[in-house]
Amino acid sequence: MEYAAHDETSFVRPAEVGEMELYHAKTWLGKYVFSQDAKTIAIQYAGTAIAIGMVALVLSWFMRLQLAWPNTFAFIDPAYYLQAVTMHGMIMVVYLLTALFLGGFGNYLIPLMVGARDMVFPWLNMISFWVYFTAVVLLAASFFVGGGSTGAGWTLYPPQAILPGTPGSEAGILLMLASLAVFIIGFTMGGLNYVVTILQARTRGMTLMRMPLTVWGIFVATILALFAFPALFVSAIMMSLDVLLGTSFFMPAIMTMGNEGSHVGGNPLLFQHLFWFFGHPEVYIVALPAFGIVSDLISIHARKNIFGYRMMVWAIVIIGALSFVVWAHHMYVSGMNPYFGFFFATTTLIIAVPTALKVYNWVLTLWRGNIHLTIPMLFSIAFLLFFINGGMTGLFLGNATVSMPLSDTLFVVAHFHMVMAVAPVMVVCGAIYHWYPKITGRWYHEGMARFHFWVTFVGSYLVFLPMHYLGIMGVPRRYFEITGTTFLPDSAQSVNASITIAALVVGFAQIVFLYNLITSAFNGKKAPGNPWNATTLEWQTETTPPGHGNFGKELPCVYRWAYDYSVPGVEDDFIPQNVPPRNAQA
Amino acid sequence: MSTIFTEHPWIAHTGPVAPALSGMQILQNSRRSALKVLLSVVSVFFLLMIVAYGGRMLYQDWRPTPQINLLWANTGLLLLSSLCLQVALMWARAGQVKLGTRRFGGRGGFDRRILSGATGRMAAADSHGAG
Repeated sequence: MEYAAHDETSFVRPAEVGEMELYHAKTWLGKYVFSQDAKTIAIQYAGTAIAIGMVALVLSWFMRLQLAWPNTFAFIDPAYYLQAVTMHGMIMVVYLLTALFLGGFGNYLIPLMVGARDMVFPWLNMISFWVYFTAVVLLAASFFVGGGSTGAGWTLYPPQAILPGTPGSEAGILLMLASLAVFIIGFTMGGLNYVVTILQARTRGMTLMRMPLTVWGIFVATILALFAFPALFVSAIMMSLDVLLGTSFFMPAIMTMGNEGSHVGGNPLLFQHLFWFFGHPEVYIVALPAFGIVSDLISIHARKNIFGYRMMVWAIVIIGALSFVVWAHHMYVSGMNPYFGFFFATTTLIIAVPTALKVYNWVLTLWRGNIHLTIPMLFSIAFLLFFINGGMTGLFLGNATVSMPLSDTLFVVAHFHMVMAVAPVMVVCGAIYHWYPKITGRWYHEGMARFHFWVTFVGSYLVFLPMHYLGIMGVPRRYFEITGTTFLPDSAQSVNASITIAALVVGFAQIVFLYNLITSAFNGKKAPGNPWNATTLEWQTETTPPGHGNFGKELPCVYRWAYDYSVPGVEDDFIPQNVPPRNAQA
Repeated sequence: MSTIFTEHPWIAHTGPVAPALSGMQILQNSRRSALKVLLSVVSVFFLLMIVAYGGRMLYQDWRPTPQINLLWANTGLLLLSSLCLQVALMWARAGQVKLGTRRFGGRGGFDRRILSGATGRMAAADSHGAG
C-alpha cells in the first residue's frame, strides 16, 4: 500500500515557508565541530558521554579488583580506591547518563519526533555542548592535579569532602565543584532548548497528546533537571566558599588531624538537604527518558499500541512531581525527626504507585503482542526485569526502619545499580540499536549485538544479584577491605571475587559493543529508511540519515498518535503518524 | 494545552488542520517561552540560595556581613535600573524604540556603576577584615 504524505482531499496545504531559518555551515569546522545541527550535537554529546563513561567503567574494574583480591594490585591504595568510587559514581550518574539521555537522545530525537527542522535555538545548543565538554575536561583534569581527584564519595558530603585526610581535598574537590557548576550552566542552555522546542516547534497536528512517550519522558526529565540542578549549583557555590574563603555554611567546628579546625557552626545537614533535593530528582532525570524510550521500543517491536497511553503520560508527570518530595529518604540515618522520616517514607511509597502502573502497562503491551525478539526488544525486556527487581528492593529501602540497618551496606549499592544504573543502561543499549539504522544508514553486526546483549544481561545479574545477599549479611559499602572481620564468613570473599569476574566480563562486552558501533558505521549493510516499520516521524524522513533540516521541502503533518500498530481493517500492521485517515484504509 | 485532558489520541484526526506558523512566529513564541522558563529556573536558584543562606543565619555563631552604606547605594541603583528596563519595555510596546534608546542610552551606565559598586563593597569588606 502506498501512503501519501498529505491528504489532498481535505485540502491540507503543505507548510508554506522555511518554518525555521537554518544556519548552513560552510566550513568543515562549522559542520562537524561547532555544528548547529541538533543531530551532530547529539552525536557529540553521546561520544563525549560514552568516552568519559568508559573511564568510569575502568574505575569500577579497579574497585572490583581490590574487593576481590585485596592488596594484590600495588597501584590501588585506600586513597585511590575512594577516588575511584567517587569518580565512578559521579561520572556515571551526571556525565554519562544525564548527558546521554538528554543531550544525546534529546538532541537527536526531539526535533525529529515532533516534526521540527531543528532545535529552536541552534546556536545556544552548540554552546551547550561545548560548555558540557568543558565540564568533562575540568572533571578529567582532577585526575592529574596534586592530591588527585576527590575521594569524598559521589555525594561529596561535608565535612569530610574538604578536610585534610580525604583524598583530593585540595584541588580535586574544587575541580569537581567547578565542573559541576559548569555542567549545570551548559545543561540549562540545552534544557531550555529541549523544553521550548517541544512546546513551540511541534509540527501541525502534533498535539501534546500525540507525542511519542520518548518525547514525554525527555520533556518531563528536562523540566526536573532545570529545577533540580540549581540545588546542586547552590551547594557547589557554598562549598566552594567554605573551601576558598573559609566561610562555614556546611563546615562545623571540628577537630581534624588532632587540631582544631578553622570553621565554626556550619551545618553539614544543610548540604545533605540541598544535595538530595537535586539527587533524588536526578534518579528520575535518568529514569523518565528511559521509561519513555522503552515504551516506544516495546510498542514497536511487539507490533501493538502502547497500553494506556494517557495513563503513561500522567504517570510520567506524577512521578516527576513526586520526585521533589521524597529526597530525605536518602537521609534516614542522619538523625532526623521520626515524623519527618514517616513523611518521606510515605511519599516514597506513593511514588511506587505510578511507577508500578507503568510496569503493568509495559507488560500488558507485551501481552499477546506480535513480539519480535530483535536486539532492541531483548534489551527492553531486560530493562523490565532489572527495573522490577530494583524497584522491589526500593520498597524495602523506602521504609525508614528497614533502610537504617541496610543503609551503609552493599544492599543499597545493589538496589540503585539495578534500578538506575543497569536498567537505564539496558534502555540506552536498546535505543542505540533501535535508532542506529536511522543515525548511520547502516545495520550493526547482529551476532556481535546478540553477544553483547546476553553477556551484559546475564553478567549484570551475576554482579548485582549476589550483592544483595552480601548487603544483607552486613558487608559495608565504600570499604577498601573487608577481610579480617568476625561476622562475615569466608564465602563472602568468594562471592566478591565472583562478582568481580562477572564485572570484568560485562565490561569487556561493552568494548565489543563500541567496536560493533564504530565498525558497522563504515562496513555495515545498508539499512532502509524505516526498517522496523515504525510510525513515528523520525522514520518518515526523505533521506537516511536525515539531512540538516530533518525533513524535505515540507514538514510533515500529523493526523494520529504514534501507536497505530496492528490496526484492525488496515492492510499493513502500522500507520505512520503523517498518514491521513483517508489514505490509511486497506 | 487544554485538550491535554480531553483528547483521545488513539482516534485519528479527521477535522481541519491548523495552518502552519511562519518561522518568525515560531521564533517569537519560542523566545517568550524560553524567557519564562529561564526566569523560573533563575527564581528557583535564588530561592534555594536564600533558603540555604537564611537557614545558616539562624545559627547563633552567624557573623553578619559588614553594614556599609554602599549597599544602600547599590540597592538604589538596582531599583533604578529595573525601573529603566520597565519604562523601556513600555516604550518598546508603544513602538517608541528610538525615543527609549535616546533617553535611556545611559542604562548601561547604571549597570556599570552597580558593578563598580560591588567591587567597591568587596574592597571595603576586605579592609574591615571580614569575608
